[in-house]
Amino acid sequence: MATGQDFLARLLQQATSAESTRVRVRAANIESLRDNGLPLEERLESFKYTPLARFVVDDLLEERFSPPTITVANAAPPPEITVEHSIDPLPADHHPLARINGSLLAGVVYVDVAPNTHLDYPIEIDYRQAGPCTRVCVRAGDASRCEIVERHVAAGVANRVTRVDIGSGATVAHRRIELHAAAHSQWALLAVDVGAASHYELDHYMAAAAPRRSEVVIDLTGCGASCELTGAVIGNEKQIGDLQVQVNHRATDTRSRQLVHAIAAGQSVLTFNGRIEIDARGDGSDATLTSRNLLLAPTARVNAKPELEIHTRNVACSHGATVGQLDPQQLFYLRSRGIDDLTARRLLTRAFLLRAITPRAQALGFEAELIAHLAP
Amino acid sequence: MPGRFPLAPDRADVADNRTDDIDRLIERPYRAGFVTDIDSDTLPPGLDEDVIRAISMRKGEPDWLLDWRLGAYRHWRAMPQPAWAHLEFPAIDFDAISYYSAPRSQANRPKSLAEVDPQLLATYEKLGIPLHERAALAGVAVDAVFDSVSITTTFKDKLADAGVVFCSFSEAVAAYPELVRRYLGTVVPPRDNFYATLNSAVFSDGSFVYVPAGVRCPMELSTYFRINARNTGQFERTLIVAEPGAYVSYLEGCTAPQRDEHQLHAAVVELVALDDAEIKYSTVQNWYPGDAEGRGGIYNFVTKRGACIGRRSKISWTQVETGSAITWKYPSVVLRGDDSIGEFHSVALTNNRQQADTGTKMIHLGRNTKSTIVSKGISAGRSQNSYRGLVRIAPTARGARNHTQCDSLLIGDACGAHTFPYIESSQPSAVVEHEATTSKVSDDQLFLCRSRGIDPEKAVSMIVNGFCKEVFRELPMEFAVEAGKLLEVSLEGAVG
Amino acid sequence: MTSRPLLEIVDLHVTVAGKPIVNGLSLTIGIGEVHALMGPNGSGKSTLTNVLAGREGYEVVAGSARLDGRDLLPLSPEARAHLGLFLAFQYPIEIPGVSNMEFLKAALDARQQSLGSEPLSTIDFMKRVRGIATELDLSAEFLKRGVNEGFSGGEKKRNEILQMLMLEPRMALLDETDSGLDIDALKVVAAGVNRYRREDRGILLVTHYQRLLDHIVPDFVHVLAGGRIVRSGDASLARELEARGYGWLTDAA
Repeated sequence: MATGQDFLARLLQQATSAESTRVRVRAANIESLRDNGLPLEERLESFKYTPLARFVVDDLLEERFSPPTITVANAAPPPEITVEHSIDPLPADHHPLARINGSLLAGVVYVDVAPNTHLDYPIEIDYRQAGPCTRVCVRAGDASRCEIVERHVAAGVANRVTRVDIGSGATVAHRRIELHAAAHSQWALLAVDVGAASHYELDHYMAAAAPRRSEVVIDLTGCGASCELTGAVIGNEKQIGDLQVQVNHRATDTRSRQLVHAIAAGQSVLTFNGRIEIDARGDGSDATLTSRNLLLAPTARVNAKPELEIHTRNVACSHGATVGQLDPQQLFYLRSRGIDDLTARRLLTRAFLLRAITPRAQALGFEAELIAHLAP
Repeated sequence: MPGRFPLAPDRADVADNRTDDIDRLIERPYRAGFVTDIDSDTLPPGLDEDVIRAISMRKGEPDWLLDWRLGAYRHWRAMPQPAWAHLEFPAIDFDAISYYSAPRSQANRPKSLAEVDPQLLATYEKLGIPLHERAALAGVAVDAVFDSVSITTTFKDKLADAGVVFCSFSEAVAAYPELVRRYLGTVVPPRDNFYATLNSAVFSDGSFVYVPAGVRCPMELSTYFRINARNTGQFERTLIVAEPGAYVSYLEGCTAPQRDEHQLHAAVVELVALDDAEIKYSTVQNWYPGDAEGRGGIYNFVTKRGACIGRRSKISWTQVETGSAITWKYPSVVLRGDDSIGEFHSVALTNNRQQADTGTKMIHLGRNTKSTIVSKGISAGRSQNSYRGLVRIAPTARGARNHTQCDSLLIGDACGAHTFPYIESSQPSAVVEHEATTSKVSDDQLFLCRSRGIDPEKAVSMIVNGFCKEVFRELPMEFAVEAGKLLEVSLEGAVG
Repeated sequence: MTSRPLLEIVDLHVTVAGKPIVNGLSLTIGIGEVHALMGPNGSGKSTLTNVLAGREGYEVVAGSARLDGRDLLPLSPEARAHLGLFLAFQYPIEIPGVSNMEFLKAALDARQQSLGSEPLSTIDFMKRVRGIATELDLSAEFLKRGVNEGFSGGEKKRNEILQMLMLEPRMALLDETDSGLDIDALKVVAAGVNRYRREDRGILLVTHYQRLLDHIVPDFVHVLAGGRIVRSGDASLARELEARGYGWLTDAA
């Protein structure tokens, strides 16, 4: 594909012509891209429904390096939290889109939460002013407790990498919404490492775009680590939304829960791939996943792929997926009480969405924003 | 811990109390592993157009079929071998395989059982498939395929009385060329996938079934596939056509000798069901699985697909897969006719170093089409067992329904159990439901059985049989019993 | 009433995950005797029955347990069953897909085989199961269901008794078979146990409460506290416990 080659050439040119500190941050990823190129011609299983090429767009090369803003209670973070803009060299990334990210970054924003800190206010990460490529790494110290609220609402294209590293005995609640910019290609990777006896809670909501793909990888690496993901994906018009979640049980007695609801209206195409992998170290793991999908229009489409990969015997593991429409019995019941068809459908659609909205996400106004996205 | 003693070699009278180190293995021989010493006409290894011409000539095929084969071959040469399955095996050297082997005694196409080489008859006798009609299983007609050719087909006359055609594929090409030509490759096109395309180029023999309109086939039809020759691949092709209102139940069984090298089996099965027709296809697959270290065993790459063309037609696949070093197989149904039904019931058991990547595809095109998938995977030893399935609801499939239940049972800590279901729906009025669970033979269950005096091997086999019961119910009676026994034999040594 | 010992436990010490649970327990049950073992939660009652049946997760640190003079402890659970030991589980295990009938037949066949006898014909087997099931007020449909799969608490307990009556063990350990039963179910279970009771068999009833002992009158009652027997007596001891509680005994232990 000539365009892919062109893109790569321009990317490498731009990546290496910057000032030397930036090139130093990028070196390993640049080298890796130079050596391996981009697998744009290959049929990649993980990009079956939304091809990789859709996220390799020229606008990523726009020279704007603004990082997202980090605030706590609308002010600069308190002393227990340090925010640092690092220009240390990054190792090469594995994911091809993360490699593009790593080749164009001016630096990484590190947010460190000191051990034993209990934060009363969330750490807010706001992307409104951010450039196309950003990378944020939150490190939650041992026995700390904090909440992260991430709003992905940039106007242009986006290629975002977020890392959350959680020490032991800590609790991190992460609320995330990816909205707006329906006309632009949006890609985000969230990689989380959960340490021993720590708990990670992720509320993850996204509206489809042109297209939007969000990848979440949660590694449960410490004994007794646990995570709970609650999420929703909604699509309207000709949008494409792709949520890829992978939970890796890499230690004993780890536990994971996933609940994802998807609503496809208009001519949208939504994909949910939820993968649970339990390796030989995951003895005593307990994992469940529920994927429910609502098709609102005959022109919309849903692809659901719940996967299990299990390499040890002593596990309790299950997943379920459904695809269907609104329940005709319920619709009839509402209508028999005098509610018109359209209102009844709205009520039931909202009820379906609500089942995957946590109380905290509702308090943050996420539900209202998602519903607004569904309105014709 | 009290009473930690090694397992006594004869009986578990004084046994290890720990039930969790289940994967200690005791090897038992594969019972169909013998070789029949017979003079064969075998083509030298390697594949080119001349080999295809030689196969076609030996079968006395018409030109159109030779051209069909050559077309497939030319396409195949440019195809990459698929790598997406959850399987690990060294590259297959397609030039090291012989593509045709037939007992010389069959060269003149015996007209009756009396002319068939007694040594071949004895082979099937030994496998428990007597071919003399008076000794044969009542109510089951058998087509016996030995390496690349069909030896004989029993109860042909009785079937002919009902108007049912049941014969070897080669015979069908000669006797019913229009039927073969009309349906061959319509369900699995010659360029479908790497292995099916290879089969289209080199297929040797298999069975052909034709059930005319309104006929309920009076007996079970069955093909028994036997690989005997060394370094030879088996590439059979089966075609079953059920005209409107017809019904047929078909079974296949497979075994092969025990050898240290791998052998390739790449079959194609095509089923066609017209209005109100029903085809029930059952498989008990017991190809040689290789030894405990993964030496030898059959590479089983099979394309099986049915087309529910007619309205209210039904195709159901039932499979019990216990053999083969590698199983790559996705019996599928294309539900084109309105109100048609597709079913897939599967038990796949892997032990030692076996690998299975198996499942189904249900492609819903017609209105109110229904599909049911029940998959039971059992992993023991160091094996890898994957379910891979696709449920696709096209925009035209108003009111379609699918229910999938996918359960894995793990016996042993070094094995893997995986589930890869793809659901693609473009029709809001369709309902798709998928459920999957993973469980183990629990120590509590084993303890309960043992405390009631049942030895651990028997206990595991009971629990596994219970786990598979839903699928065994779908098999014809005689085969359900066989399948249960086969499971028991395949699990031998999976418990310590 | 001292007869030849059927079950003989001498100075048994058991730990679970390193924690001592049974501490020097000795108990002899003679042929034809019914013993009741009572005691508060955590006194080691279930540990004892599980150790005797050969469940894993328990470590015998010292002591012995013999059935008819045969050392039980080195034996596998099935070998113990073949010798005639039976445990009615406090929490019966579910085995989905394996029917009760099939399970009973397999257990009975295994027993017959260990005795060197022919297996029961299917017809005789069915007759016997049905007869016993009727006595226990269990329907024929119940026999077709998976082992304990979706059974109510009472059904599970009656199922244990059904297995006992089918297998005719020499020595039955009934671990809180009365818990979770209403009075009617309790009577059915007690009738089953009394039917089983015979001169050549022994029973150990493990229970919290006197109420089971109103229906099955024991020859001896023992109180377990802190992992050893702190008091033994006849049936009147159980009534005394009912009236006074365990405190007066356990405090001393």
